[in-house]
Amino acid sequence: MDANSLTVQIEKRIEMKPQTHILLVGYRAEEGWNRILAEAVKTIGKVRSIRENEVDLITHASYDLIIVDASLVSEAAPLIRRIRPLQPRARILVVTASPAWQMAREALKAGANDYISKLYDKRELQAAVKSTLAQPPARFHFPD
Amino acid sequence: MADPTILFVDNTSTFLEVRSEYLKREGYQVIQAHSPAEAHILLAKHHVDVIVLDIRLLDDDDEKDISGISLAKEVSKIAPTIILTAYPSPDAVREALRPQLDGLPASVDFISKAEGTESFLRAIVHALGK
Repeated sequence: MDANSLTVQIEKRIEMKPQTHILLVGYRAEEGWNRILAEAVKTIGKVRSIRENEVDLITHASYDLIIVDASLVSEAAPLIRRIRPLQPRARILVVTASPAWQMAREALKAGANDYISKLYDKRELQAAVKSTLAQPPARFHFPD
Repeated sequence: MADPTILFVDNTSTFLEVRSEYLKREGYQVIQAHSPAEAHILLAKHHVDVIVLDIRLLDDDDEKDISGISLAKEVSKIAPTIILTAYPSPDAVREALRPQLDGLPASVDFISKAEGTESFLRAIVHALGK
């Protein structure tokens, strides 16, 4: 077996790792972009999607990655402040249709790992998700 | 206890002077640097409690100049850093506030020069409490 096919096999095994748990917050099945997102992350881990008002119920499972759709929740930063203590090990990725520096600042200060514009290309989305998963969870956040 | 010391790094002398005077009136000691090299020399000589950094320290007209954020990454273990810029953007915020390999960001806050002195002072007070 050459080095390349070995790398492909290892990557496949990492992608299929059953312990990668992904949570989509602000999910609405009727949103076209949400379907693209759910489809893209399905290959990376086990996906669960919830609406914003269900966030306080996520204590029973530990997630590796939590994706917050800033365009579909009322306010991303306060929501992240609620999620952070419930899921200290999770990486939090904020996606938005309309990027603004103030929103990026508030989301990252609240404990998000990254803040990206909505990507409509499945591969780009997967790359962004994998790069966030490779980071350690954020250890810093400002108090309210 | 001695007044907290702020290292203020900005290549625009007039802005640096005006904001330094403001900080002194608010009870802080201020050390000024106009370049990353000068900042490193001063950090080797002085104890500093907070570091405030402009983003474009080499060329104000070069939007690719992020030397202030690069400097924040180099010195963030010495004291908490705050980015203060006239050119805020989502990408610059990500660069400064995204957690790095140790889970901590290069800077603890990111302020626009247009936000005025109150936000600036609040960021410094927060950073001193870290």
